[in-house]
Amino acid sequence: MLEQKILVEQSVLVGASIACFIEDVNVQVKDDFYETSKPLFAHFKKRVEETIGIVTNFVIEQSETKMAEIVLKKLDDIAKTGDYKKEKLLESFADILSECNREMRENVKYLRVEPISNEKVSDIFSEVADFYDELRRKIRDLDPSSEIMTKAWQAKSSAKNVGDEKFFEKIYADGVQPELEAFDKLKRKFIDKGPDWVDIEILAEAAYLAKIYLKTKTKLWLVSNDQHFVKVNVESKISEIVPKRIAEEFNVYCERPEELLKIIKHKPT
Amino acid sequence: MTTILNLQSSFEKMIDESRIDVSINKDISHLKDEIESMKDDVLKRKGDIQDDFAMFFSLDVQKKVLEKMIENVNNAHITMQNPLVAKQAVTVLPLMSYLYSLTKESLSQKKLIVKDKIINLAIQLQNLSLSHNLYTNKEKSISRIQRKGMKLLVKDFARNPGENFC
Repeated sequence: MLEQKILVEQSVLVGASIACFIEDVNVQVKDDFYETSKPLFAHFKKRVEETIGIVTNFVIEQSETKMAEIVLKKLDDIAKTGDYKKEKLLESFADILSECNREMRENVKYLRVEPISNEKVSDIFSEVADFYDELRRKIRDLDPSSEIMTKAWQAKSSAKNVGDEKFFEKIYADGVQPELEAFDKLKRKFIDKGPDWVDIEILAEAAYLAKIYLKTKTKLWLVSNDQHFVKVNVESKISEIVPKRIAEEFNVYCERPEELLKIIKHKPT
Repeated sequence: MTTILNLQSSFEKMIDESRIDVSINKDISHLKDEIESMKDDVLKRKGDIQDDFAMFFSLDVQKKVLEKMIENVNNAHITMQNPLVAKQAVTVLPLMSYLYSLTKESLSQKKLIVKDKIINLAIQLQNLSLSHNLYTNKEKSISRIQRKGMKLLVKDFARNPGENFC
């Protein structure tokens, strides 16, 4: 593969657009993924003529909706405290939403909006829905022991200088516990709730674009913070199953923004 | 009473005549005052905060569009954008008219308040207005926020890595 394109998913576009602080009401509205998502857009901006970053109209529309939801939720939380006057709150939050939307438009400027065939994506949609059903079954039946043992062995090798009384505690803390937590999160994410139609549509669009880009030997990344696409956390071995299966099935390579930035900064695109 | 549709036809007439008539600013100002008064009505309401916010935000976006419209009309002869400013206004006014009606009906409780729809349309109006030079630019907006005694911090990694700016 010579070239790479990065399809930006809504959690990253929203993440890179929400960071406001209104001093006099001491209100901060900042997305949890701002710090990791925004640097990717700085990279796109720096290399704008290469059009590395791409997006679809569906992702933009969903991002606008999500952004409004986040701002409304924060407004609701603060209003419930009863600490601020209504006028001040509404004025501040109108400015916050307006400026975050402006920021989102700025971010979109560094992406190319890809045309999508709705008919073809509709066909892929059912394939993706079936794929996620199968993945849910796989995750339900997953036996985490091998991944946990691998992590435990890694912890053991790094713990050789640790005193005997702390030895097993260290293996548990570094190797077993994080992987068990990741396994738990993965099950919650896929078994309790599962991907919604927006996730399925986004992966269907990504699969559609990957097919097109494959013709020009271009690798398609899907950059996301959503665990329906990427690993639960960077270190987790067990949740590798999600991006791995997506890549095998649809040629779409899912990665978190901070990890993807490391990869593309070290490779010519 | 000035309606958005009246403004629309006045601007269309200016396009036909290829000239900008600054007297239209009087009508735009009237509409802006009406929107200000509707914002006050929202503040007096004792309704759900999210519903009230949807209406307030919608009116705030419309007010900012009208402010920029007045500025553009005043500057049309300086910026040599005659009748471009009229064409820009004509592009934005139909969406604004729809949003205005929806917000007014919600405020008078003639209609159920559909907050998601109102917010979404207000965002679309902001986007459309930004594309047609009918929305306050970023620098002006931030200085307006600061004048109100607020400080809006947005971290921009591209410009100032690791620093906040206002």
